[in-house]
Amino acid sequence: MLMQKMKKVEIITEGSNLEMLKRILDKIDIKGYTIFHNLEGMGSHGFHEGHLLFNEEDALVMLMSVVDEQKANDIALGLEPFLQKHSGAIFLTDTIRAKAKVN
Amino acid sequence: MIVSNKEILYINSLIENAVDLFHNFWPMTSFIHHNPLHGFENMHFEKAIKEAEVYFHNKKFLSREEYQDFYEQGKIKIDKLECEIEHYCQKNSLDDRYKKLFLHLFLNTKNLKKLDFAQDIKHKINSTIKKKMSNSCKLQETKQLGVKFGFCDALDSLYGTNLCQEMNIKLNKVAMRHLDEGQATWKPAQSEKGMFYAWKRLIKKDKQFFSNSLQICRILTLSDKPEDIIFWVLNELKIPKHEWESFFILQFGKLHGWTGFLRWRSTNKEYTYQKKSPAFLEEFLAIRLYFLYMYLKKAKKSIGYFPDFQRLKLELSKKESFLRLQYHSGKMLPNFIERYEISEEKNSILDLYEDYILAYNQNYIEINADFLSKLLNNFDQNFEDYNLLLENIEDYHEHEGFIYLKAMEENYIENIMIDILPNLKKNKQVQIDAQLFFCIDTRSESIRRNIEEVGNFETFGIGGFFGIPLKLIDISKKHESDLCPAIVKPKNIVYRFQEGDELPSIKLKKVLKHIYHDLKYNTMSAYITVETIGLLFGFDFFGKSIWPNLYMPIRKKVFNEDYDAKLLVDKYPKEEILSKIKNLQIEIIKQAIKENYALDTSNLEEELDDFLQIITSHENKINLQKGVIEPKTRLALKLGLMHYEEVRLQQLLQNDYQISYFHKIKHIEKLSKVGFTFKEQLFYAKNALALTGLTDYFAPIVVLCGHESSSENNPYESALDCGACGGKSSDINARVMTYILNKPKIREELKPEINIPQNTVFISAVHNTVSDKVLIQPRDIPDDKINEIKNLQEILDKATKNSALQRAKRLPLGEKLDEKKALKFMQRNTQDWSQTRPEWGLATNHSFIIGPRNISKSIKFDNRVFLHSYDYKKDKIGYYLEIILSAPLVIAEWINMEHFFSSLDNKTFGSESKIYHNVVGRLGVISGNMSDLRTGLAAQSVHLKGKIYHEPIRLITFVDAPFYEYRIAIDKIKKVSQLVYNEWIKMIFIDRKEEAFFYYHGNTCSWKKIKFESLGEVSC
Repeated sequence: MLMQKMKKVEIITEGSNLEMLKRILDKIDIKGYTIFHNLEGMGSHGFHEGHLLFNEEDALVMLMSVVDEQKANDIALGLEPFLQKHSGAIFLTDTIRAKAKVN
Repeated sequence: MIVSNKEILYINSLIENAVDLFHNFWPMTSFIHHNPLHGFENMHFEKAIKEAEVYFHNKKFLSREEYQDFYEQGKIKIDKLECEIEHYCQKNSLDDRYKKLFLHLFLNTKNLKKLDFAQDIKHKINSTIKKKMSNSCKLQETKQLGVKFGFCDALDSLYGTNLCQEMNIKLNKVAMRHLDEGQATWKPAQSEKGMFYAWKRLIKKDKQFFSNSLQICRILTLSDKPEDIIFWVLNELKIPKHEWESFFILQFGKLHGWTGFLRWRSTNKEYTYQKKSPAFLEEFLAIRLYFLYMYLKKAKKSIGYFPDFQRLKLELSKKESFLRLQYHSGKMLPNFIERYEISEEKNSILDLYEDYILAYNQNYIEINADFLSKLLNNFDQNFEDYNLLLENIEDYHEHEGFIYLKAMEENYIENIMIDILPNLKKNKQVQIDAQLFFCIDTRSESIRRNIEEVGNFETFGIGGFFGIPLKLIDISKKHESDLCPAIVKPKNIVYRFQEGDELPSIKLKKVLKHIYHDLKYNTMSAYITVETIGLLFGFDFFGKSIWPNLYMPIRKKVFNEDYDAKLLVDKYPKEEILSKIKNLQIEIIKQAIKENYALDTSNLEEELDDFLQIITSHENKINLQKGVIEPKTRLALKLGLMHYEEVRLQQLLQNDYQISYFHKIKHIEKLSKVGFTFKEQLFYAKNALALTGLTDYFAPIVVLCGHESSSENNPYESALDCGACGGKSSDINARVMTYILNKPKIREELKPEINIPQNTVFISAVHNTVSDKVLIQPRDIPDDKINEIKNLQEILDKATKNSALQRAKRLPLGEKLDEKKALKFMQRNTQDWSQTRPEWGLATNHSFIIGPRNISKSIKFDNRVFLHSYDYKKDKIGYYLEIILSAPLVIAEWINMEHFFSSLDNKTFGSESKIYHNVVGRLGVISGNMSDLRTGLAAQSVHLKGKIYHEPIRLITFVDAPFYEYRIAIDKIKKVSQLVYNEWIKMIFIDRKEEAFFYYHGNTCSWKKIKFESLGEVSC
């Protein structure tokens, strides 16, 4: 196994912003991520119900990706204006990526 | 590259923030009603309208005269108005005299005759006012440059240029050219590489706007990133970083129609035309900024300086700039115009300044004194301080529209409460002949009421997609559509196809024998065929390229609209799908080898199987990419193909026949979405019934009525279709839900919560909202119910006649028609090419009632109320109420606000008269031959004979549920709490336990309790 120090980036935002987020991350070559739908929680913008059956725009989602430190910083600083105006948050965590060696 | 990753994200974040203020605009083929101020819903309604004015220059409320008209029609009651004025006065610490004055202003000033000029008032308006006015002459625009006042606006206002319009024309052309969806004969070259790239290619050939000696042009040549241009222009214009977002808002706001459309396209990557010619907001902005820079560069030659941010701000702060702005904006006092023109010629504008300010102030005083003299005439209260009086009146002017609006809404609220109250004691009917489900759409109200009147029927209201979101792929019409509210992305696909009769015996049939055989006898193969050989979007290509002479007759035969269309609702096991794909692909490989190499592959099944595995493997994909040629396959050896021939065959199969690893993955991914699993069907069926409270006492016949509208020559036709189905007919959703609910296994699983008797049958119907015809779909009727259904259809026809007669009275030329003629008149509207108003659609909508039908039954709402069935007793934890509030209510609010703003300010938020509309790019309309994309409703949809037809009032929502237990449903959903507490909708609970209405009152920001017995008593 190859062990590599990386940063885990978790971005929580409203469902209506998900496509935009995926697209602009793609612009800086972030092509791998995992998405969690229908998050429920409480924040400065009030309570967010998780099971909005027929409304995906207003339900929260989380996009998780593992990137190098430089890109993690770019994401946090680059998305700052967006998060100042919209519900959501960014979390950066140290992580280790374990990748199987290819023969 | 100029911009870093961080800057790319930063610029795109700001763009996203900026365009948040501009609503999405969907293509006209699926018109979605929306709130034009959707981006402002995080603010209080009144504040949002004021804020929006900065960007849209819109009218905030109707004029006082228009509200006075409503008062004369009895739509505003004096007691309600007094209450609202009293609230205003209390909030602003104004004494009783003001309350009387403001009421007097509304009641007695409509046709005020010119009175003698009141000299005494004039001189009482003292120097304080003069001083205030002198200060206001200092340019607001100076402070607002970049925030609310753009570079081109500034130059146009200062120098009388026409830069804004010239820029808009350029950008309109770019958008019209690139976003075209098949209307134009020529497609711009390389549009598949994106809007910025395609435009870049063209602009380089424009000598007027491109020169290699300019740095911006060099960047354009070297970079394909729109952010590079954006970043460079922002820096070159020296715009402070904190102003960037406002600057973007201004740029997008200049063409907010195209911005809205691009915003929608940017987030719909699967949209056919977005795939064909991608276009994104940052590209549009970069193009705009490129032109802006070039125009400013040009302007430098005539004005003598390069108008960057700092320099322009300096120019705007100069005294002569005030005069320039007055002159070029047409606001200059008439007796100064000539003097100004002479001064400008002599380059001595500044000399005029002192005189002008004096006259300007004097003019202000005279206008106000004149107004006060009229107002105070015959008014029995005295005001000592006219300056204070004027200030208070000015402040009142800012708010009076909202006060009148609230008074009008109060009237509607009280009337509905009075109508509902007696119905609360009525019990649900138990023995009924049939139950009919209609969309919550306001247009269902009349037909539902008339059906209930002519027979022993019960009706229900539910979102027109019947709680089952799906993507329909219509093979015969070669297009796909999302049949669900715009706030949902469907995860399941349903195929619709025409079942063919016997096909001609021809060569093609041999190739596709399995396909067509299965198409006829096995529904599953239809979609496999479609996905695998691209029947949907690629059949024309396939047929015309490979078998042109044979293709067209077959196409005609297969796509004959007369054949009964079938739907594919069930999901098939993955193994079965894979096996079918494999068989089909082997048939295609055989045919490809025969066509291209004239070789026979009979008896080579094993080799073909082996070959297919190799060419659709992941390794093969990598090898093909690397150009590595694999050793000969067993098939190639058997056929005696040379090495290069085998490679060519692989490439041919990949490129022309879609047989490769990539295509395999794509087909599997898409096919896995086709149909609904049993669990999904059960889930949606349960939700649909439980949402409406129908869980027992099912009638022998239950009809699910989808709805659609028919009109001719009407680009807005989809605006009249079902809003809950994304501006499409909801017929398909009704059929799918009917199919599911008729399954014995589904009914078995729904027990014991939902008990559908064995003898109950679900059938689908279509309600045409123009003619009001409700037509039962013959395909769903079981033999033993034919006679009953026949009788039901006759009764429905009677209801149609009655409803048509009532509705005709609201349409021009229909007022005096009798029953027979009214029906003919309505039917004629479905086919009349010249009819600009085939129906009133959702115009005049004002309320939404969520509760059992018996609370609204027999009340004549004239198609003005959304009705969603709901029974809180069957929703102990409020789960279903949350669903109704988070989706149907949100959509109803969009519809309501679309009408509100289109009616209030048709020029800004609507699209004005249909007469001047031209369809552009098959995606929308423009006015005349060049304009921004027009969003919103046409004047004919909301106005009548130049007057307001749709009264702009906010959606009044009634929920029949105990307030204390169910209010939490609002607080749990951020969007809904935003709409309620920011007063975009009015929310009222009907609480039978407390015997009271609970009403959220914006004036006090609290819930107000109105006991049933005290309804009608005036209490502010």
